[in-house]
Amino acid sequence: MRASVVTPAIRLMAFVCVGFTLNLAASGVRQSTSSSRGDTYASIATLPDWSGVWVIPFEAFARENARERVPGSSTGPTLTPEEATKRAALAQRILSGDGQSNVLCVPGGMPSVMRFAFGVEFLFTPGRVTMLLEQGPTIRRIYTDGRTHTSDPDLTYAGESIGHWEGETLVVDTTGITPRARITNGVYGSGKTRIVERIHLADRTHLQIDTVVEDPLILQAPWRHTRIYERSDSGWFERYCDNNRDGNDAEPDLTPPK
Amino acid sequence: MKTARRFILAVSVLMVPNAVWAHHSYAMFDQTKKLTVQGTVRALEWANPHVWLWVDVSDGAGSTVSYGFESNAPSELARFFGWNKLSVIAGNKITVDYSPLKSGRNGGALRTVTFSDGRILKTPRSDPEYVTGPRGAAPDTGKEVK
Repeated sequence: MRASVVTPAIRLMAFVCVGFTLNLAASGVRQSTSSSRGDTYASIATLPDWSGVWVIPFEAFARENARERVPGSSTGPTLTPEEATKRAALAQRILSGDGQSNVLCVPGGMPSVMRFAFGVEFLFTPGRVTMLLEQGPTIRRIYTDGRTHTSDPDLTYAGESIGHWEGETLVVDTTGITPRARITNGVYGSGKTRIVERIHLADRTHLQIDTVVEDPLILQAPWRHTRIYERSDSGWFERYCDNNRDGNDAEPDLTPPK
Repeated sequence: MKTARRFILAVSVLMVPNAVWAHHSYAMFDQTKKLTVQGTVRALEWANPHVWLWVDVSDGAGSTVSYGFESNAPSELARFFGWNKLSVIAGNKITVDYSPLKSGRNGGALRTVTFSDGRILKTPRSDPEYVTGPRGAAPDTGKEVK
């Protein structure tokens, strides 16, 4: 029934949260000697082939989603005690029908937008990698032209991303994320979230993103996780919320279409 | 004891169904229940954020009532469950398994569509545990659970 080819081995690979260690500078962006790679159309030809649409298999997404709800789960973020209490209270309000989760279709933002079973596309242009995200309207612009973070950026759902190439791996450092963006289910950032991603091909049809999320006000410890995306031939799906029948979280709009 | 009780309370509060965090909470549906209706397809709204299936069901007194069933996004149903915009078309005679709205109104969260010839269209909620995880899940060990 499934349109994509998902073998058990691939499923097993997906979401194996290895306690990988990233050798990342805690602050500042390292300027790699190879940071000029991809700065010209000619040098883009030397970059790895990330063409196509990349998708986390639904089952892998669902399993991570399910595991994350277990308190103390090693696959979810470790929240500060205050944040854990807030999240639980929000969940209870929603369950009792008094509270809304995302009925207005606002973007999830970084890093939550990366966790869904929706498509991701990469576009290479000189000095920049662009990520299109099917799940919501967010476009991620990752500058690889050697610039550093601005000192006081406007906070956005995508944040401000600076990248550089280390061999075949794109290392992306993202800050400047709005506190309206989510870290994950029911957890919002503080505006001080910092995300470092290492993106590379695991093999020709699998893209691996190792991520470290830090937020001094929300997370007790850095949240490290690995996700595997499959190269899909299923094309791209537009996703604008133009038929949102869930504007009222307590009850959907049950007016049948004409 | 007090500390232990607090801990238990904290854990029980945290063990909320994960679906609470979906696009909307799904708290409006009773996902512990599976109901079934038979009817005629009125329309398939192949739209975002979620696909809706509309079915006219006989009220047993000579007229019909309309039921609305919510599912996932078109991309999810297409890529992972084999749907497309013509999978279900107006006039199809189908049986629908669903989790009802708690309000008792006519509709719910779509689980499975069965056609009169026996063909089946699944969704992430065909097996609710597929989406929400096993109830009373054992503490996570950090290892992939198959």
